[in-house]
Amino acid sequence: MRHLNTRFKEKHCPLFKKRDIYLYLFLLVILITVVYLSFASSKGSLLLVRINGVIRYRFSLDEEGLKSIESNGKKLMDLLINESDVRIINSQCPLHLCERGTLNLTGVLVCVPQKVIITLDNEEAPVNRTDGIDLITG
Amino acid sequence: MNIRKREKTFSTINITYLSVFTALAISIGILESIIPPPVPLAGFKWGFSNSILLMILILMGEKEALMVAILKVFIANFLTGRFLGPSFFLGFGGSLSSVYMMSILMKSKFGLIAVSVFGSFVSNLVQLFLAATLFVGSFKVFYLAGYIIGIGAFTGFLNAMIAYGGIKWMRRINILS
Repeated sequence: MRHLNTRFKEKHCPLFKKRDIYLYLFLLVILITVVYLSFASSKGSLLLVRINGVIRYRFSLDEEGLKSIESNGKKLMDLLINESDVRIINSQCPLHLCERGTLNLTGVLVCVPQKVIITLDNEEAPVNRTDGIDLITG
Repeated sequence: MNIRKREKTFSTINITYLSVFTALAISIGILESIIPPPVPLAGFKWGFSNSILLMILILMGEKEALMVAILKVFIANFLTGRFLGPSFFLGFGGSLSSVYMMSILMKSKFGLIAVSVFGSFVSNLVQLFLAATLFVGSFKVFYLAGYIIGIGAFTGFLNAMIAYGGIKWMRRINILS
């Protein structure tokens, strides 16, 4: 029987090694930093909806109800604001994965196929609703 | 690459093993696209097919692992109808970066679990970066990094155990010399 021509020797590839501790420590530091930063920065009373990187909508968390998110005249999704939490419903994306999270749970709502990201912020940045269209003629 | 080395890499037995590993990686990739991902983000998966890439890295080498990673991403996305969609690009970047990182750490003689966990970590970071730059257009997508790194560490650990157990099993049934 022919065997696989392998360079593998089990003693050279154990599950643990002493030096692994440095990698785990590095990972732990990164994890704590990232979690701290995301919790610290995902606070605010304004809901910013960016489509393709541009802020298109701004809602207050106090405005409870259903908000429609559109781009180029096409409806992308609805946002349900309820008891200081926000979720995406009726998304037009194929897999509807964005409907699974809530803003309180993940700190951000993302719909990758429709290029939409929803975050909490205090930013009073200008809202661009023009879709790059200056004038609509009859 | 000289002829002898090329013959060694692409011998019939190696091609056969690579085909089996590729089929396994694709099957796991397709299964993962059916089950819900750990984070509500299109394109992200659990990443259990990395265990197959880890086995190939251990048994064969970086080149073979890269080859299987590329084939896995192309074929699995093609079969699930997600070819050239976000899932394809995120998977492509994630798989290649993961193989490179695992290969570097393996050469630096780290343990298998650390190699796998760090491979998952780098894969997840690259996927987040690609999602931010190619699709969403905002680096605020990195708010999800905490979840993704945590889940990546868990799946990285499981992948290392699967790869270790798989190789042990292959030795026990005398597939490996």
